[in-house]
Amino acid sequence: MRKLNIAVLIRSVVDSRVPLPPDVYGEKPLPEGMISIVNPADWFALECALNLRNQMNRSQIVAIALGGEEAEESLRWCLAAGAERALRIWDRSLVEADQLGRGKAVAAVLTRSKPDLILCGDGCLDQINSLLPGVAASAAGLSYVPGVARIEKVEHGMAVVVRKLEKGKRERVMVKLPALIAIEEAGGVPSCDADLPGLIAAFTQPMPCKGLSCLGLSPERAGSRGAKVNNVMTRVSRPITARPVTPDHRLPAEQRLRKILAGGVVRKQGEVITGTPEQLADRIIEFFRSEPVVML
Amino acid sequence: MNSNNFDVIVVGAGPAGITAALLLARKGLKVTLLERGEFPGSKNMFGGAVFGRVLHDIIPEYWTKAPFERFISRKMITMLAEDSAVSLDFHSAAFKKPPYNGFVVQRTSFDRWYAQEAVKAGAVLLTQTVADDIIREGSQVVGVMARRPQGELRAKVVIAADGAVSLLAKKAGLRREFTPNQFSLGVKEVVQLPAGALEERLGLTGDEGMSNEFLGRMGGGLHGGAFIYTNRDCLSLGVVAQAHSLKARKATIYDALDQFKRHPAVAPLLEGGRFLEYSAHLIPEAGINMVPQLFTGGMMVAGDAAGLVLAGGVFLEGVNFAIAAGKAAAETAIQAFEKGSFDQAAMAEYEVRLKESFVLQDIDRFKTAIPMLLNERLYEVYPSFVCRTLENWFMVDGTGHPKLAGMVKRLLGEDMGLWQMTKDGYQFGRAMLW
Repeated sequence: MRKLNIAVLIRSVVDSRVPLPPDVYGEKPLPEGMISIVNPADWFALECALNLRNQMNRSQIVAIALGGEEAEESLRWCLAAGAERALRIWDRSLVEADQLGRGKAVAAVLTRSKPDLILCGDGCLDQINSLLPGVAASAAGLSYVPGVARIEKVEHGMAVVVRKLEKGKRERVMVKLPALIAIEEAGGVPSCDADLPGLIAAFTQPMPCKGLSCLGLSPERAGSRGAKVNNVMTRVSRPITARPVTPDHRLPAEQRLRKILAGGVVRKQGEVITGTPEQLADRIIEFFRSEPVVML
Repeated sequence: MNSNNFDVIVVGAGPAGITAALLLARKGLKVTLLERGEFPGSKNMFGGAVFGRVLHDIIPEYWTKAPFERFISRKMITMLAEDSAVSLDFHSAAFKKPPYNGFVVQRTSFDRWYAQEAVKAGAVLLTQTVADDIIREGSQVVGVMARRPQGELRAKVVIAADGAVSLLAKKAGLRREFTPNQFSLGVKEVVQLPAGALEERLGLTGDEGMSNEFLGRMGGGLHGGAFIYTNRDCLSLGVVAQAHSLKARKATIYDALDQFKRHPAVAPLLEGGRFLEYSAHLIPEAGINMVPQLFTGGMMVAGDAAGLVLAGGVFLEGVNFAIAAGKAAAETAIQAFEKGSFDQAAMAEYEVRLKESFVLQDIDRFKTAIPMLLNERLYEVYPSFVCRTLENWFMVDGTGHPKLAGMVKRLLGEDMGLWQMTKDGYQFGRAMLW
């Protein structure tokens, strides 16, 4: 049986799940303030590839990423997790390239390396390179199967996968290889519990980087000069304006924790007041003063 | 050769650890830098000021390369009373010129940049890797255990720069248990201001920045201080409270921070601001008394892990001490490699170097400031006394201005005697003046 070559497309994204540092709240976000991570869905795809390799024992995994220094670090983590090889594509003219140009560059790599199966995550955390796999598959003339929940088996040049459809429906799809399969992230925190020797090997080995000319592409075709879509301005989401919850310190620790975790959101509830008519009137007036219902 | 063998292992990618790794890698030694966070700077926190003259020696003209927010050209020290404040406001032209005296930086950007310099020099940075324990052979430290499968990592020299509550120094038996007297707890908020508001409110232009340290009784009766630093378009502000007073007063530090933000001297600065982030950090503040044994065979301790922080009242410095300690540790290790000896006697050179540099000299010189900082009247009495004196003196209420001496005597009588003040004055003198 022939060796199964698996390629995994890795995209680096800005981690938008943590609060962004203050620098980025400008007109154009500054790259140095942002935290770059491996796209969680792509990491999940890598884990699927590792599982496949464990089942089939005759296969090897190459991680491919398009990007600058942040992509190099992402690839090193892939190596630490168990990928055999890593390949980075980067070229100065790709900085301002559109998705079509980037897709063509990835397609050129796939055409040259001829993997049997290409995996990637379905979607990108920061949305920026979400289109990339589809464009690359199209440019390389590969089948593209998005929205895949799991890969059932890979044999005889075919892959059987289960796709997610609307309202919880599932479909089983048989696709002829080579094909690009985009896997939906199944949740959970991506982690890398690589062993230490593997980690050291991943972070000390040389990392090849191919430019456009190595791939037989020109900046006119794939780079910024060929871009039909240009980014004029990027704006990140607005900062969180809510005040931090500083719970009453007299409460027990468990209730304080609840308040912090609830982020200051409390259930709506009525209030029963008792007392003399004067006290009741005072409380009602105080209520209207504190709640922006009517002007007093 | 086993790939798990290095010449030097540096634990903790903060200013101390990165400096050591950078200098060792420059000498061509095989060095690895372990960091528990996802990237250097991700787990770190400090007020915001870096006094970078020592960094200039390591990376010349670092200010053209490092991501900094503003250089500090205006330094303020403020005494806070309940609803009034007295400030010393110092502007300096010398602070505005290279080599600048100090910068405000964000650790997430600064540490990451600095660590990349070490990586470029050849250090192997391993993030998300915690060092749990040291490996010994006899009395010699020969490596660390990382919290990963097959996590045994060996080296001739281990430099522990793993932060204020250093696990490795403890495992190596170099430090005693801490007491609450030795630590302060700092909390910090970053508040985004409307465009241009920061420059307007603080009278700054261009990249000029300000640092303002506050002293006084914080909310809830906590003893400590507070600070405001200027970032590019937001303010870092925070409260530092002595851990023992948190315990004694049963107060919470976020209440103190809230009260600080509502103080009439502070609130106008924050008008219209938006809260961005919140963080907290333990600060080793007991000076020379909490500095552990700094070395043992094959191991050195640097930075916060060694308690190398100057908390001398008006001086609050840590990063420059960490960088200098990292440098001393690296130089000691380089010398040890030249001689081929890594035992306790070789590592002892580290303490000698620290004693020759400003690091231990300053900390030793200002050890007399520690009793002053623990003197409760510094927070409870003097700030409000100074504020009330000035309030009474400047008040124009138709009764005429008294001469200062008489008023001071009257106000003093309310709080304490002249004898007490003389004793405190002597304590202050010993701390700061001679």
